[in-house]
Order: sequence, then C-alpha cells, then structure tokens
Amino acid sequence: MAYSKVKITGLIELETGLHIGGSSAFAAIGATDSPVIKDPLTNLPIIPGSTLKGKVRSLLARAFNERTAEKPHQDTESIRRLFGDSESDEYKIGRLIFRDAHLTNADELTNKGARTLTEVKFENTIDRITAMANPRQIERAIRGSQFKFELIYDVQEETDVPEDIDLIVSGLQLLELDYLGGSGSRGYGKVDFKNFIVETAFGEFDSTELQKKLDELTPAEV
Amino acid sequence: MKKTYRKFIFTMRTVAPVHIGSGYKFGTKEYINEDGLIYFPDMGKLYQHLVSEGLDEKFEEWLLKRNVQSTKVRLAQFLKANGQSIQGYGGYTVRMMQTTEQGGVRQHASRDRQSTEVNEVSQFIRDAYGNPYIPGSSLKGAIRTILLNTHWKDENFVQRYGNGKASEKKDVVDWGAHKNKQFDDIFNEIRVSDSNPMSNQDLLIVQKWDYSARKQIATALPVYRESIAPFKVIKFEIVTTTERATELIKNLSKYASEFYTDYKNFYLSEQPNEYVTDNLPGYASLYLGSGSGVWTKTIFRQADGIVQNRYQRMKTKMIGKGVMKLTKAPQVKYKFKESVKTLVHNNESFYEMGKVAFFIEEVTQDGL
Repeated sequence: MAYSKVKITGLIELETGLHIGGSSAFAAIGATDSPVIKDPLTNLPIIPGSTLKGKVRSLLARAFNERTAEKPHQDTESIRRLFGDSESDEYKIGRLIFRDAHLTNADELTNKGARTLTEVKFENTIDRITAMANPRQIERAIRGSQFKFELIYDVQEETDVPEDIDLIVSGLQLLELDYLGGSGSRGYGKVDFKNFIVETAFGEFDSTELQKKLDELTPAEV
Repeated sequence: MKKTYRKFIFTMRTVAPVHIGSGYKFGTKEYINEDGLIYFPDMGKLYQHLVSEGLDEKFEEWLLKRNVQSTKVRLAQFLKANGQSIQGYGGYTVRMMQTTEQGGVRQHASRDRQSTEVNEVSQFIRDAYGNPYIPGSSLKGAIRTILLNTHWKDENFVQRYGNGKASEKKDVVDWGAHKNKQFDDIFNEIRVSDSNPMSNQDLLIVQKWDYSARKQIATALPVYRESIAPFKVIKFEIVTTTERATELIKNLSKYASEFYTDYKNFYLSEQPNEYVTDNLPGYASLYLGSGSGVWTKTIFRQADGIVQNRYQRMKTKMIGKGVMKLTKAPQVKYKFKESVKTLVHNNESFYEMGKVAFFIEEVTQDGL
C-alpha cells in the first residue's frame, strides 16, 4: 500500500477535574502550590501530547507486553512500532503523532456558570496518629472541559494495519478506564473520548473500519 | 487481554449531616439570614449594585464597623436601612436548621451567646459551577482509615522522635516510587472518583454541638457548617487495577463493620446510647468529612494517649477520649420491612456528625 497519513480527531471531555502539573516556581505563599500547565498565550489549561502519549503507552505496555519491560525499548514489538524505540533502527520513529490538546469550549463553560476555567481544590493530609491536618491547594482544569484531540497515524506496512488499529483503540479505551494527569487515584483526570472523526489526510487508506471501532468505544459511565 | 480493571459503584446514604469544607468561611457580613433560609449573595455583584446606587462609601464604612455579633449590623439590616432589596445579587440560598426544631432538656448555649445566632458559616466544597460534591479524595481518605484500622491493624504506625513527640509512620504501607525497587503502591491501585454533583437543596446549615458525658451536658458552639442533609443518596465509582486491591474493595463493607464495632467498643460505648445515630439495615457505616471527631480519623488504638497530648496546650483540654461531636437536623423517618423507623433516638434531634451508610457493588463489563 502506498504511504498514507490518517488523522484521528475527537474531543476529550473531563468527567472530573484534571491536574497536569505545571511549574510552581512562582507560586505565592498561601496560594495554589500546584498549578496546572497552561497555554502561555491564552492562559487556558492544555493537555500536552506527551502526557497522552506516555499514559497510553504505559497502559498498553501493561496490557500487552508478554514480559514486564523495565525500559521502554523492551516493550513488545507492536507497541514500539507505534510509539517508537530509540534503540532500534527499524522503529526509531514511531507511527503515531500525538498533538497537544487545547481547550475548545471555554465560552460554553462560562455560559454554564463556570466562573473560572480552573478550580482550586483544598485538600488535607491528616496524620493518623496525631490527627494533625496539613492542608494543600491544587489547581484543576474543571469538569466539563473539552479538549480537541488529534492523533496522526502513519500507514507504512499494510499487514500491520489491523494490529495497529486494535492497539490504538485499546489504548484509548484503557485511558477511559484509567486517568490522565496527576492524583488519579483520588478522583482526578477521568476522561471520556467523544466524536471521533477518522479521515485519510494523505494517501488511499480506507478508514471505515477504524472509524467504526472508535465509534464503538463505549463512553465511560458516570 | 488481561482483565485487570474492576469497577465498583459505591452508593452512599447520609444518615447524619456531612460537611466537607471548601476552605472558605463566610463572615457575618457576607450573608442574609431570613425565615430559615440563608442567602449567600455574590458579593461582587452586590458591591457593583451598591456602587450604582452610590452607596459604596457607606457600605465600606459599615464593613469596618465592629460588634458583628449584634444582629443590628447584619447585611440584611444594612440593605434594608438603605432602601435596598435583600435579594437578587446572584449567589445561592441554603436552608438553615431551625431553632424551633430544636427541643431538648440538657442543653445550654455556649457562654452567654444565643444559640440562635449564626456567625461564620463554613462553605461546602463546590465545583466550578457552584454545585456541591464530595471529592474522591475525601472518601478515599475515609476508606484508607478503615483499612489501616482493620486490614493493617497489626502494624505499628507510631513513629517516635528524640524529643518524645510522635507522628504517623507513613511508609508502613508502601507507596510512591523508589529507585531500583519494583513499584508497590496498593493505594494507587484503588481509584475513587469524585461524586456526582449535588444541589443546594441537598444542603442544610447545621450547628456544632459538643456533648460531654462527664458533665452530661450538650454545648452549642458558634460553628456553622453547610452540610449534606440526612438521607441523601450520593454515588461514586471505584476502580481497582490489581487483584489485591479488588479483594480489599470487595470486602470493604466487612472492614467497615469491623472498624465500626471496634470504634463502638473504644469510644461510643462510653457515650449515651440515645445519641448514637442508627446504622441503616443492610448498609455498612463510616464517618466522612469534618466534625466527626479524631477517633474516626486516626488509627485510634495507637493514637490514644498521643492525640490527647496535642490538646494539652489549648484552652479546651481533651479529657479522656473527649466530647461527642453532635449536630442537630430534622428527624428522618423511613420504612423498613413494613415498620417505620427513625434515624435518631433522642428527642433533641441530635445526630452524630459525619455518619454515612453505604453499600458497594461490582459492575460487570465486557471487553476488559
């Protein structure tokens, strides 16, 4: 098959507040000590492509590696093929390109009554022997935020396509069951992928099957 | 694919008022108390309105006035005195537990303060849309306390320093990443979601009451909290990612009952039975949020003796195991197996602050 580029776009909707940490070097005393990463131009929260790529890869490695990999280059071949492997000549550059996802529904959120597009959550550590509290403040991108998600898949070998597609779909499905960003074990970062559009931006790849599989991706229940 | 993720629905029913603070307290000049409803206006909007009416200087002067205890300087009085409406400035309204609903014999108001007068009100945690919700972090902390008191009860959690002070040994249960060591963090394998958002109708502002078994007296304190009213249902999702985490969550009701029984033997048994809020039949119990007392937050068998030291330096010394943390809310009746039951068994409408009932079920899902 001729070389093709397939563009997968969709929306990432936050079901709970998301915290992908930014730098707290200039935080004021008594104010938010862990801010989220933001677009410097618009000052809106973003989801970096590196966060998505890292999380999806480690989830897939957990699910599909036959042996536990200590380093990324020990991942199973199908994962290295998609995500890249700096130690291999064949897969030095992976077949997936993750883009940074930007917030798209700022106006809608404001109309829904959101006063700010990030919230500050007060939390607390309680010492279980002295009952002493140690408070902290964490910033989160708010529930209901939608980020435009874009993923480019390079079609190189036709024979690999079914496996690649399965892996991409599984990765996104696993992410819906897991969390994005920090502090996910206490409720942060529950995401839902929506409105997938698969288009062949270059070449002659038939994208109907991938579209069908992504549409079947069940939305995470609340 | 290896099936690793297990999903559970955690259904909670409050059996007493529950308060989880946002970290913000409304001062006496930030709300309007009328007919059992407390209106928290959007102070920005209110100020804008006052500016447009040319009242801003007068307002600032009023804000600096002292003697906020007196009802004469309340926000409503200021607005009325200046011919302004006492509503319509955005914000929200929450019901207040009515003093007329408070009966009772052995109670007295703290010092010379009228127990009917509201002062600072602690806000319930809210999302960006202003809806109250329970964060997963709060529930997870409560679950962790239960598990440390039961599943890990044989471990020693006390860490002593040279100066005799003690604190919790935080690495008894492994957590976090360590160099050259396999990642072992069981509480990372338990993921507790935030609850569904609730509304202001689910809330009730309640007052803190301390009951001293020694003095046999209940004291009203000037602490007011926006709380979830009793008998509201709240849902959470818990996902476990390993088998050992699944085992703990599957048996959570059992662990919670074990914790409750031990807590009862340790603490509640020294308190009058009538003030202990009923457990719901078919549910397990736990304590959530603020005001439920130190013994519900600690590994209490090991904390006993250490917690008390902390309060020695304060005005309110902790004697024995301390006072019982109560609050008043309207009586709730419910039907169980054809008979009508009540949650509280005293005629003063006293509830144990922060008590909730829950059950947990696994959701089966295909594919993963």
